Amino acid sequence: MFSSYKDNCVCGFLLESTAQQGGLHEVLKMAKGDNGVRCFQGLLVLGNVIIGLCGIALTAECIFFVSDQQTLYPLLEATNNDDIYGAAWIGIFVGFALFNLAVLGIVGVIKSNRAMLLAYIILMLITYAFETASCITAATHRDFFTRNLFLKQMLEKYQNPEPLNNDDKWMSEGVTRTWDRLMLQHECCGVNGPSDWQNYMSKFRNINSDSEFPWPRQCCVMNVQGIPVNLDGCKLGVSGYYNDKGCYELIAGPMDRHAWGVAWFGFAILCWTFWVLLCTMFYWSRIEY
Amino acid sequence: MTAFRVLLLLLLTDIYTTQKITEKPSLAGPELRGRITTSTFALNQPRCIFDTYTNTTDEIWLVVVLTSEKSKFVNPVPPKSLPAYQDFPLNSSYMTLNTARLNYPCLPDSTDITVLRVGSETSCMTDRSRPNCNGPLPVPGPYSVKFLAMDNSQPKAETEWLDDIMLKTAQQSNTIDPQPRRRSASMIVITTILSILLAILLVCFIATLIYVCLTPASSAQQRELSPEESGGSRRGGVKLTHYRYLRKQRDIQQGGPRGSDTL
Repeated sequence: MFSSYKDNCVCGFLLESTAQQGGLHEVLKMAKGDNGVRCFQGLLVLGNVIIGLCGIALTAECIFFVSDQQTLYPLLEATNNDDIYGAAWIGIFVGFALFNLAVLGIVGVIKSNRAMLLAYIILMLITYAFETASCITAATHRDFFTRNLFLKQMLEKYQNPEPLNNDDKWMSEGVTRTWDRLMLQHECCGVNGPSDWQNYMSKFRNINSDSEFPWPRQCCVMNVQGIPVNLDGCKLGVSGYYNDKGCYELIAGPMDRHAWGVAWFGFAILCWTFWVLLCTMFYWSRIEY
Repeated sequence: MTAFRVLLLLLLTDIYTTQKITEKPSLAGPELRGRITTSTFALNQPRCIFDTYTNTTDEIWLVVVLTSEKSKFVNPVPPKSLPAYQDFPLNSSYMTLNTARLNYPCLPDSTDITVLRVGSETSCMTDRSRPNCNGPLPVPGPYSVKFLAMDNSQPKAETEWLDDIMLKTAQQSNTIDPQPRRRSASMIVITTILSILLAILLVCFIATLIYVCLTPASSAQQRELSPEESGGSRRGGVKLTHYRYLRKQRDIQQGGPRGSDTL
């Protein structure tokens, strides 16, 4: 009993000395107590849970975009500007990384392990940088998809009879296939309408005479066998026998959704992750060795 | 004799004078998207126009000339042959789309689209055996057209000229500028905000590293947590020392230990 009393005296002395040295700082920390730390840990865990869930969602969304349900990829490939697909690929890996890092973060916070949290912060910063790159790429390259871009590509590559090299041949075949499918499936013609084929010269026009093909046969209304219902009506442009709306909306719509889906969802995740990372850095700095 | 010759001359002149009809040919209505293309155009059929001046078996031809050479055109009388399509545009005129008048029945209330597409035949473009080929027009124009009714190669009636039909001219595709006119607002927002956030994070991280490195472990009591007793575990410093800290406070306030203090 005596020894423990002495211990307490020693401890009390230590306490007095630390209180004198620490001063106000120690008083404040004393007041916060155990509950504050618990609360902070809980917030960090919650933040990481949300990051983990968002990471899975980002991966799923980007896999959906990369799978290209509308098979519009050949059009992008032919523009030599398929960076929104690159952004989606980065998104897949970033989402997966976010999920794993969130698990690491949760474990690190609960155990208050310095090494784990340092690894978490550094890896998160790297992932953050990649996701920033992905979002900016998707947003920037979406701007390049103008009507004129697809119009020029269609005129120069659709049914191109003399491709310059193998690369050009591949792209021309892709463009031809995609446009044929678009025009038949969605009952549209050209980018702005059938007048595109009249207003501009094209590779198509080089081999198909204007009087026989004022616009491609795929612009005609077809019956179930794939034969135009009324060929003369289609050539004359009698409404009901040809498709007079343009296909631009059907190309731009999915690409817009793709680009904005990657860019804005990534932006939202990054805004949230920013706060979680700041709090984690603060927490990490407060853990003692 | 002279009178007889004069009469004969008058009769002959009468035979060779073509009846002038006041109607003009007309282009097909604007609801047809393909009424004028780069090598064809569409006219309305000449229904109910020639009925009073011709028989049903007479042939109605379309005369196509370049507007600039219109004044040089005279209705061809035999034995002169009709200008052939294959010689156009050197000849500056040709005649085509000949059909019997009975193929243009006069049905005033008909709602069918009745058009003649000039330039629709591509198979006979170089076929000299078909001088009346309705081939595609080689130059953008301007063209003038009229209908001419002929009875056994004798011109019988004609309409007025329809002038200045200009075909479409196609531009080169390299005149199209595919560049976007300006950046979208979304892209600017995303780029600036994300770049700023990333920069802030990096700065905070470096500041945290500097802060942690500059405050060494020996003066840890300057930070919020009191030092562990020697031999204490290294893990979970936060919770444990807070708890220890509070316990010490409580003990000191109560002025003595409570039971054994095993730490």
